[in-house]
Amino acid sequence: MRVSVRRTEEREPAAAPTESPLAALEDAELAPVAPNGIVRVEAPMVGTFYRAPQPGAPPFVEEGQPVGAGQTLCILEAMKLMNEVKADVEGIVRGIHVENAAPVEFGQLLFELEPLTARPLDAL
Amino acid sequence: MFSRVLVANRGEIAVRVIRALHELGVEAVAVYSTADAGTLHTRLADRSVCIGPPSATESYLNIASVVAAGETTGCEAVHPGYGFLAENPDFVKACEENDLIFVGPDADVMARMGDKVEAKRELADAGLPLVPGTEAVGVDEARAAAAEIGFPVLLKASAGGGGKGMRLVERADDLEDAFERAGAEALAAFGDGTLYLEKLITPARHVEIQVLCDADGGVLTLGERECSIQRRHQKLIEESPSPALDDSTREAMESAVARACHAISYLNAGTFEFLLAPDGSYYFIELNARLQVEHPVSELVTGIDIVREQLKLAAGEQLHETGRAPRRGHAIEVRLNAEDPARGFRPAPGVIERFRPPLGPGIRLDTHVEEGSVISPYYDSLIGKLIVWDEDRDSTIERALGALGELELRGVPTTRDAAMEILASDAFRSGQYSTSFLDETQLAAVGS
Repeated sequence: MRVSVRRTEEREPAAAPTESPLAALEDAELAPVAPNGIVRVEAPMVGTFYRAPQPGAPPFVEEGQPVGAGQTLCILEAMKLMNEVKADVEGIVRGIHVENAAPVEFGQLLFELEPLTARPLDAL
Repeated sequence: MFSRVLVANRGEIAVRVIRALHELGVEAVAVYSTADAGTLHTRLADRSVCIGPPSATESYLNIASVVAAGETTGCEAVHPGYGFLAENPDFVKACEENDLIFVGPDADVMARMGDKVEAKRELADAGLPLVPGTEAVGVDEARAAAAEIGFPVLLKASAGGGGKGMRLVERADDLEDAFERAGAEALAAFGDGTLYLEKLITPARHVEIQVLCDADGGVLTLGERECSIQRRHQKLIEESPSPALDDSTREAMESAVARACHAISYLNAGTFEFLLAPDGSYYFIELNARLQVEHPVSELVTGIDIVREQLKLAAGEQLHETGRAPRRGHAIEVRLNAEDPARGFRPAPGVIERFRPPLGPGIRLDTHVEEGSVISPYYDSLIGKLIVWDEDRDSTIERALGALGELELRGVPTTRDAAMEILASDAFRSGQYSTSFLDETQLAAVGS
């Protein structure tokens, strides 16, 4: 997953700036670190979001929990295949934005992570 | 009928399918890439799902994402449109394995018809005539075959394509020399000098027959579409009926196609493509196992909504009528592409700054474009299709010219002026044209 700088939704002004679709897709190529350092983890594919490896098992992560780079955050199921979504950075889970077993689209915000290092490695 | 269907496409055909679904009281779920966010088909649908980034291989061609979009939104069926995954047997299988009904033929027939050699063999067995020719031949057999078939003939490399090892032979005297050269060229290019021989159909016309088939063996033929106005094998203008077919040839082609559909147990909509020779002989080229871009031409002359029929057939309904669909009048389709005719019809993406479609009786414009729309560099350059109907061919041409003149479209170069020149030309008006029309005709829009 790629990481770069973009404002978070909370900080965006109420009236979204009008962008041409071409600009929007350039924007979509970039992914997501806010100036406050929060890293957005977005869905890399369409699928059903699962917080745990199987029904009844404890979730991969909880809010407030530290995670290492490469640690599994959730599963996205598509065509009966389980695809793991992993953290790119070492950080603390600050937001979980999808309910277990809910469908997600490409690019949908799944998690927010607060990196433990001052700067995410990818942004160096 | 289904209650919710995924539309696995974009652009004008996604809009077309969504409208048909709504007319049948079915909910439509659209898919889109990030490049298509907010476009017309995503707004007309009852729901839309972002399936990936702009690159088609990561979005509209991504089987897992498209199937997951259908699964997670509770769809019962998938309409593939044309292009993208519409003729991909792996996609059809993936749909079937995930409890989604694919609106089209089954995976097995699609795979067989996708293999051009296998398709020809199977449909020749089913009684469709192929371009006369041979299997691999030596020079003596080639001479005998050419004498039987008649010149001109083409020598082609068995191993190859792209014109390498191919020779046009117009006279018997030239055959031996051409055979030697083509064989040497094929050997150099493909490591295999094997040649076969085929009759050259010239001037050839491209004529295709539209069919609808149900699961009980019912076949409805919707007549032909004449698609000879092409550049680089891309169709520009289509019409029905073809000015080159007489009633008896038309009937013979339709009944041959209907028998072939039975023989291969074809299901849903399909199109049989033929080369038509000047003497009225016709030769099967391929079967397109899907909806085609130019399907509205047949819709206007038969009054049958092919997309709605596809959906009903996929839901298990029978055809209401079989045999030859009644038709009336004449229809012409003009494809409007964002292309620059002065620069070899090169695609010219950009923003549509001004768009006002032509209106009036007998005029239909299938498009996804609005003012401010972006013709994206990621996908094909089709802006829309103007389809015009009138009682006879001459008045349809006039109506099409009027409609094209009325169209206001600014922001990107288009094929509009080239299309108007073609429609107004003596060759087109006479109906005596072939697939080499654009090579033989100097258009002002194209320049010199």
